Amino acid sequence: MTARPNYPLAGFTILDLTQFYQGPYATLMLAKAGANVIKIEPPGGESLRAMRPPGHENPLPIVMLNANKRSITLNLKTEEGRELLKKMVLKADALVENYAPGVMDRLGVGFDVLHKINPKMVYASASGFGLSGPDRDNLAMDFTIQAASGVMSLTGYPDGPPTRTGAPYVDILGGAHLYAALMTGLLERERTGIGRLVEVAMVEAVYTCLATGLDQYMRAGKKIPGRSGNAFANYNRAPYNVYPCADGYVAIILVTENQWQNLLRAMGREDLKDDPRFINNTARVERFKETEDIVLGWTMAHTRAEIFAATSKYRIPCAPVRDIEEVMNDPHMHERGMLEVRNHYDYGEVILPNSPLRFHGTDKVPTTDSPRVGEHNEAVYDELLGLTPADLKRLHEAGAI
Amino acid sequence: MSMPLEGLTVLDFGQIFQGSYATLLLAKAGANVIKIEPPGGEPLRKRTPPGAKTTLAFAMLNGNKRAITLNLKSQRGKELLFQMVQRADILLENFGPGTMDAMGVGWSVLHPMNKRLIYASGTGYGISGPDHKNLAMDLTVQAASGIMSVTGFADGPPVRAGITVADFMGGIHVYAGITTALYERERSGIGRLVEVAMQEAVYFTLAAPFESFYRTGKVPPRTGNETGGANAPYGLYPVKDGFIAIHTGTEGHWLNILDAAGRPELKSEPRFRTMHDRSANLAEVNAIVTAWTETLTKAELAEQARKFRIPCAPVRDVEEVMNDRHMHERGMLQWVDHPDLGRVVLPTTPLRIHGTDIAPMVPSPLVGQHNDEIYGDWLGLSRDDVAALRKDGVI
Repeated sequence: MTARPNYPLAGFTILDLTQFYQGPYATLMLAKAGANVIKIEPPGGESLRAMRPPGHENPLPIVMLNANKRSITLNLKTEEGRELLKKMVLKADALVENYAPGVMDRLGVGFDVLHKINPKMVYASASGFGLSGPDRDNLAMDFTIQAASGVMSLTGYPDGPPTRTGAPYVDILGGAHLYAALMTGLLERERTGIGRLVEVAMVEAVYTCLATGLDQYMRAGKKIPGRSGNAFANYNRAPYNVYPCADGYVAIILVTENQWQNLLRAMGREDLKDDPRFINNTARVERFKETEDIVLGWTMAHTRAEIFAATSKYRIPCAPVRDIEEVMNDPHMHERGMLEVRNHYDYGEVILPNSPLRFHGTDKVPTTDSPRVGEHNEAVYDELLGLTPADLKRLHEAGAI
Repeated sequence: MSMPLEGLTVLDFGQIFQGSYATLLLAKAGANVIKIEPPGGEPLRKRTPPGAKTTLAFAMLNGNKRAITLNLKSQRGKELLFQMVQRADILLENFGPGTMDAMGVGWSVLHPMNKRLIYASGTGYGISGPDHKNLAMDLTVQAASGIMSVTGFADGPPVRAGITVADFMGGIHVYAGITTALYERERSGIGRLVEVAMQEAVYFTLAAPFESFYRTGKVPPRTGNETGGANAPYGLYPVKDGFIAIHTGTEGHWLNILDAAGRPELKSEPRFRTMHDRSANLAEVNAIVTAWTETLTKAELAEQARKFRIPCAPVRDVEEVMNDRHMHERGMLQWVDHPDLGRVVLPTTPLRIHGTDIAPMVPSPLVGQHNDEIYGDWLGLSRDDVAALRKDGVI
């Protein structure tokens, strides 16, 4: 007998019916933690694959989000396809899907049906608004959830429109919650032996993240906070902003009064150290523009590197605003193994991320590249269901896979 | 009552948002969470306005926890921690890297005392690598991680997301790491050091801009509320009482918009047939959509979106969200009579495990509210002992 690999989720089989970003992010983290993730796609491939740029088989997000998974095809619109899924359910620990609520039920393979077949299997569902409630059937995309969840109302400038966050974090946040819910369901199963229906709604995953905005609303006597650009909600802290500098922008944020004193030292403005106009946050907020001008006078005369070196020396929270090219080449994340350079069949030399979850003392799962559609039909159908190449040929002709 | 994480004890050194969010979700799933604060309370409490006992942010993040105080700088304080570690399943902290080690209570000290203990660390940049000592706050991580560089308009500065997205993204990943380590412990019997860096937790949010970079070889410009032509129509459109966000994901969605707008004759119009065609004629497309949206209110438009199957949502402010009928009906949001805040809306948990219960709402505690209960009933110290600890500044 071979030793069990030293991965947190070794030996755990997951049927992954997810698509786009949210679900695949959850199953990517499962795969990177050592689970056996089988990506089950309709014969043409999942929806995100169609968004391929010219000259590539897949868009880059497919490549990022589907490493360490094996892909098989399955047509759930055929009776034979549904039967195959039910057989695989018998061998699985969990099934994950992020179709719109009710889709799996209408196909006849929803939780109620599958739970009877394998009561130990955890069924994880992610959607925009959840499986119940009046908004359940609203169509959901990252952009529309950013609007509905209230986040957009707080992003941007007071004299401008509500603004989208350019990184579709709602999808990824939803995906991380889905992973969290699934693991919780698995833990509970250890005790009870029962596989549950676990559920995450994106709009709910975002709610607690609004803590600052909701807090400001209450503090202001139920007055809706306006947008405040890069400054703190209701401009209630100073300095707290993104400041232009000689070669870009830096974010500087003060948390303690001691940091203000340190900032004055860093800026060579110790003449202001006892100045009552700036002595504490309340005073500085009252003179918001003057305070900002003091900081700007310094940042505009220096580069990002100079400012960062000075703030590091004086222990003031600061970071350069980096563009995505700088981020993907970040020496820190490369050194930590979060980022690695791969030679990918579709993209050539490309930088790809690992999982942000680190379990010290366990082994890193070696990266395998994102699969082509149905690349592992033979291996997986043989391994799980004992099907032969001849069986697969017939299933393929019948349109079941 | 059957809760998924019943019977697990968590020593919670979480502060501000990241750590506290992870332990909030543990508490809502039934874990016994003991919030351990320095005698003056954790930093988020310091943001309480004069005259108030707590803030909504604190109340949202610390329900269902019990609070004790502990001075880790005193030798007796460390000994108390060691006693608690022997009875706990999980310790979580989101101090700067090395803080716990410097006090002599880091992972390498605690692990030998309780091999089953899971030690979870949440930081900005991780506990290794050249940047690990950089000070991290949500705003600076938004800057360093690239999120800010893709938010805002092409002719304006980089803009932060209006929520502390890095903090919460970090928090949910810490929870994910803890539950994974618990699952592994069921088999191995060993607790792990689990680590999450906020910067890494947000990396995947940039998947689309990374792709644009690979496609064009250039850093993509900020595109405000548009996608730079990838989808059309896409963006914010005016309604009578605000804005509505529309995201056309498929050709079918465009046909549905035309039905809703009363313009079915345009379905066969070649200039608008594909996403690419509509991007090439964006001004006309936007005019068609705007002519429809501006005659309606948010509520009317939401109704049409449901009827005609169009992915769109009104841009809601925090008051509308707090009072959202849908989330109240689902039990995600509850009206609570909070002892320090009065009647407020508080969230439960976005993690739903059907067939199990969510811990009934218990309001956030005051600093050290449960000192007697935890040190007395749980650790078995006498009333006099606890009084002495208090007097000596240990708790």
